[in-house]
Amino acid sequence: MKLENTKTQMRKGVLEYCILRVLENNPLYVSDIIQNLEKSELIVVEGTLYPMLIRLKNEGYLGYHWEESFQGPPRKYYELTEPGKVFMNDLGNFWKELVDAVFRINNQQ
Amino acid sequence: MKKTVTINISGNIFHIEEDAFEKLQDYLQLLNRFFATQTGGKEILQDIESRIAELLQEKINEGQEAVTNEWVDEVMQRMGNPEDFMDQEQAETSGTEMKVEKTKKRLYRDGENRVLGGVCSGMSAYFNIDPVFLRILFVLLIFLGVGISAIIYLILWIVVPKVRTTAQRLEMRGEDATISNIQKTIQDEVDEINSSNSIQRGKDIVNKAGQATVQVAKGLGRVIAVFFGSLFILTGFVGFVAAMVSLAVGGSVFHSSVSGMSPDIDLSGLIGFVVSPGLVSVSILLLVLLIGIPLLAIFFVGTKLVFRYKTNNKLIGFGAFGIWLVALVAMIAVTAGQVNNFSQKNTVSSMKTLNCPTVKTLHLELGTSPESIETDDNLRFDDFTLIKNNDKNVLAGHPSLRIESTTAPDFSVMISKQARGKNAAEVQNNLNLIQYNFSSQDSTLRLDRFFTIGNQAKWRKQEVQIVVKVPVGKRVYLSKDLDQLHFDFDNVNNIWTKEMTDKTWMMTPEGLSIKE
Repeated sequence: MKLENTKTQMRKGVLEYCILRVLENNPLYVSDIIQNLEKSELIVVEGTLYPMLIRLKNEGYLGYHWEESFQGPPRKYYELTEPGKVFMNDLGNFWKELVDAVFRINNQQ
Repeated sequence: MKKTVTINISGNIFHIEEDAFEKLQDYLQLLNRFFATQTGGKEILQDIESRIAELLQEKINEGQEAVTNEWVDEVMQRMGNPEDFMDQEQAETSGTEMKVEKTKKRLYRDGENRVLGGVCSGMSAYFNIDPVFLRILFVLLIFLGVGISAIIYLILWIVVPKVRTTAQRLEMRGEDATISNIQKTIQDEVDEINSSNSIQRGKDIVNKAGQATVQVAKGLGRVIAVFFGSLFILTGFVGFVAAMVSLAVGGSVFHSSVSGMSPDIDLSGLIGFVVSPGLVSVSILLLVLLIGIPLLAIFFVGTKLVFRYKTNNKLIGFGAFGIWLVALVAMIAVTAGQVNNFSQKNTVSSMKTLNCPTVKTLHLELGTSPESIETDDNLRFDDFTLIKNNDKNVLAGHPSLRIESTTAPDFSVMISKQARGKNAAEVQNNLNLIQYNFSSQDSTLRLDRFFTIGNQAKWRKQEVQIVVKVPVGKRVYLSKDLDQLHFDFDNVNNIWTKEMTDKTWMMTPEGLSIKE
């Protein structure tokens, strides 16, 4: 149980960066985001994603627009904003630092 | 076979099985409460709902029609519990904050522990006291004459929503609606079902769940049904009890409920004057059936409207209607049998000369009768009044009064009695039993207001006519209280009968003439 908790915490931190990353090149519908993230086993429960998306949106890093779909109601597409790109790059740099740090520590053993 | 419900999740229409619906509803309410405290909670929920709709739609596209319990489980598995959703920075703060928010209690009606409408059991869960105590309190209040508590109960019944989902059940008790709590509650219920007489109890709950859904759909109709149902129950019950008490004991309850009859009627007493003793109980029984069955029917329609129970009461219904018809026919037969008792008729007259040749003016007035009678409060029929005399019911007849001229030198009074009966002997007997008194003193003639038909006698259309014969040339004074008798006499002045009293009249060869 302890392990799961820690894992969840670690995932959550990385997830934010990954969401931005997935949205870097083109706007995506929530399902597409999930599909992309699922491939890399970053998502355990989808519920985690939504609060994060809304928070990122409210902070101005994400925007969204509605697109008509072939079946059913219109879909909500999230897209990366300019501040979002800056924020993502900052996070990316920090991520590299983290990976380096972890790598270095692993090698010292 | 399972019942399905149609729901709309963010613009998609789904048919969903009932148990799956309740589970999904619980889940969404849980999320709703969880995100309600967060910024952008509405948006988060919208996103989640459209995702759930999408997941379900994928399943539908695979070829199945209705959403099942398993699908909902799958969706819930995928979306996860609120505990897993928490963002890092919220994890510390909102954890405590939300506990306070969620333990807010709400008042529901607890349909599963109900006796009547589940109001008391719901209130007991809300206030955390024993429901039995509340029920006793309610019943006591009603019996102590605080009738308003019955109305309050009805209003609560209509207004307070019934518990339908597990989340609501927890809300009613003021417990946190977390997934684990919901699971615990469901497990409790399942355990209860297993421990009590398993299958029947389970059926009951399924039945109740079915009824609950119908209630939602017909909410407004239900309110109206409850209203009229209560009205029917009240009418039927009060009417029935009043009619039965009146028939059995002979009380004064009858008046307001069933007909416009005046109070203080003793219906069974009245029957006793018309029908022979053997038939009294029969006709009372028939009356009970004739009046009671329709009232009971109203009562049952009322309870059906309010409590919506299902009964196979066609048999009872037809049976009751059949008995009612039989009672009607029998009542007609009994009544028709009475006609025979009226077939013979006879009249006897007796004449009394007042023997007062010197009197010029005869004062006619009403004798003081022993019974004090308030005319308005007694039951009248066909010139008879049912009065109380020494606590016994007495059928008192109203005599009629005529004034005629005579060539004889003196005033005289003629009393004509008339009665009917089965045969000549009975007629004679009835005639003999009629009692009517008058008295004369000096120039005053006192006439009793009533005649009686005798304690043992039956009502056989007895009549008494008083004829006061006034010699031509003499006068008669009619006192005011004679208005209470039936009058009939011609007069020269053509004055309306009611205005003839309180005046002195002179007998002329042409008839009575006014004499101031």
